[in-house]
Amino acid sequence: MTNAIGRLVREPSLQVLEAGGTVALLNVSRLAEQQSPYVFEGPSFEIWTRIDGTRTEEHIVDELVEAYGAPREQIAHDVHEFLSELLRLGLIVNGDESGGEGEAAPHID
Amino acid sequence: MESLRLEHSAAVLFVHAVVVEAARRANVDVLVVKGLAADYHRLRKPTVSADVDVLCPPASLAAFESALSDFGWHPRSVSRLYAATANHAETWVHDAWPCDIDLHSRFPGIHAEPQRAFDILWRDRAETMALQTVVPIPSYDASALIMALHGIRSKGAEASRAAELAVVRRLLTADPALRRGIARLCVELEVSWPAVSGERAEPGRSTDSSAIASRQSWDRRVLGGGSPTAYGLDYMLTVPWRQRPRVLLALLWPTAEELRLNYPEVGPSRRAVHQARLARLLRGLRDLPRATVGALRARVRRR
Repeated sequence: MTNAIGRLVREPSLQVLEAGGTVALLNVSRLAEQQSPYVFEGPSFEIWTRIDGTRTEEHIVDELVEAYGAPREQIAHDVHEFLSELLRLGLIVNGDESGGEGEAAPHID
Repeated sequence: MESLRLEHSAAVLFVHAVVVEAARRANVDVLVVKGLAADYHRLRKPTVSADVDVLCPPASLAAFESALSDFGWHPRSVSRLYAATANHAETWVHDAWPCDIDLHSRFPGIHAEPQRAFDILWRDRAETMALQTVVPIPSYDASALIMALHGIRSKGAEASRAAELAVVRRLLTADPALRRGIARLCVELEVSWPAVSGERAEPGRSTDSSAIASRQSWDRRVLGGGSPTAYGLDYMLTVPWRQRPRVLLALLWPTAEELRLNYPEVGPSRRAVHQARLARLLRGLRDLPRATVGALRARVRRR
């Protein structure tokens, strides 16, 4: 895996509603650009629920390979794509880079 | 990554976070009234609200609206006539959200100067949570009062709102602390105690001219049955004499454009517009006797 993301931390100001295999989240710190909630279901939900401030990208890939038995390469690719997008949108931060103890760096508009 | 459209019940929770964030960015204080507040204070069975009602003092309104605009919200288009007759709230919408924001700078039935009224409600405020957001709401007493006023204003229109008034009146009998609290707020906020309690004795009335005008307008609307006809009649009585024929004509026979803004379901044909006008006119005629009696009773009451 190239450029694997380290410890994954959710943006603290996110508004999150999780129910029945679906999670909706609103990024209030970027509300001018992201004006309505994202809704994750299926694989994206499985990845999102594993982002807890302790797991790394590799941990998440390991768990999904074990849970679903799909080829590791495929899962690793999908997870990396998804996490990269979450990082780009500011929904998560790389806890190892932010320097905090599980807290995301403050977002400045 | 795409945003999917949310269920209404979920959207209502998120919109509270939008409101609080808009207030934070604008550096203003706002209170969420009715729905979430009534649920938190257990004044009603938990219900999914149709929209989020926000009370914002007039001096802060422009800044708050600007923040909402930055987040993609905009006022719903309504006809000038509707805006003039409804006058208590402006509905803000967002194309991606199935839930509206009703923005009040004053609340019907509260006749104190709006900024002073807000300051009193803010002073006594409580807090609750919507998702991970702390939401400021009126106190238990103030929330009960607002629920009663909401029930009074439209008790002829909806049974559920009349039931809200009945709940508060029962609580006034059963809960002496609430009774004292609401009586105090009625004085401070210049609310009619008889209207809220159903009892006769009334605390001292204001001599402030804007509060008197507000109370007269409220009486005409409430005593007139809370119908659009009562609202229209009240509006007509507040405009100068020379403008009344024009206002009356607009109320009775609105332009097709005005009609479609208020009733988007009206079809594109002239026939559809004509039918909608007639139906509206018949409803108006049906409600006119009660609205007229209400206006007369309001006139007697203020003497």
